[in-house]
Amino acid sequence: MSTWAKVMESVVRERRPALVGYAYLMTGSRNEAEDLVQDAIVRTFARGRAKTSVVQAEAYIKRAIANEAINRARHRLVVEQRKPLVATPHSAPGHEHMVSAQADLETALEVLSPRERAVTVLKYVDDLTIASIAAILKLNDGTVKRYLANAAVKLREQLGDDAVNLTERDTVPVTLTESRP
Amino acid sequence: MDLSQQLHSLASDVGNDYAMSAPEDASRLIGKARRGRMVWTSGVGAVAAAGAATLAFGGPAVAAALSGGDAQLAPAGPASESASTSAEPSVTPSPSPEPSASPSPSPSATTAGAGVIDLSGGVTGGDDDDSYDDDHSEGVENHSEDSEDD
Repeated sequence: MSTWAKVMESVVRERRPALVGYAYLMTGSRNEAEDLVQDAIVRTFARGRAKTSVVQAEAYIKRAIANEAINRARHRLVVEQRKPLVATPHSAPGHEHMVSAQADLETALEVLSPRERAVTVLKYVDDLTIASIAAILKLNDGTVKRYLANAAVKLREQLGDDAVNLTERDTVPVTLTESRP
Repeated sequence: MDLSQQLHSLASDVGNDYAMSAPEDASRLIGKARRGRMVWTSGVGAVAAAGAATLAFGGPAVAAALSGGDAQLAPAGPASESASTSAEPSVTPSPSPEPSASPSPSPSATTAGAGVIDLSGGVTGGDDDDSYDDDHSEGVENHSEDSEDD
């Protein structure tokens, strides 16, 4: 077995569940996350330079997941727009599902657009810088900041002010210590 | 718990849940990747062969340009032709626009090696995904590697 195949086997056996969880944050659908991860793994190893380490391969796969999640979401939006209005409605979640904090988070994430969701995950899960996110998603730095700010506003509306702290803000808190008599 | 922790927790829960029923299909996925890899490398190999053929038979100007020599691509275009005809309308055209750039057989072999990398990179560089920023010359090597594996 060649090196890349051994690395791929390790990725599939050891890192696949974590990647599915990561993809779930991007997509909001378990089935789609599984499908996305499988495609990303195969595509990553089917093309390009042979990956020689699990860490390196996982980084490639995560980038592929982020970009593919956005592409699929945008494609889904186009399909939804062209669907007739008599399409089956979404089933309402049960009460017990809504009481957990995780369910609140999932509901809040659904409010975000695909790109807002992607930059949020890349920022708060992967802890990437604005420049790194911009490079991965092929966006300008300013665009990434705008998506992050929009996402933060929407998440605050859903989860409360304490849930989202904008550490990437350039503002500095100022405290007045003396007052003029 | 802040947003980062909540997201990590959610991803972890989904991942753990998936791990309970994860399919044992590693060999199937490796097979799919191997087939895709063979297609991909054979495509790059064809481009590399075409590049080598171009360098071998396509004229010294291309070879010199790809090798980074002092030859220029611009004089080979229509602009240079019009310039030469206006300057010397009655002179018969010379067969080689850049006589100094025509390489001897042994240098052309070395330029072919460099040209293979450049050409394959240019063609497959149209890939829409930056996550596959490849060293395309390795694709040619991988072709033999894959065939050995199979």
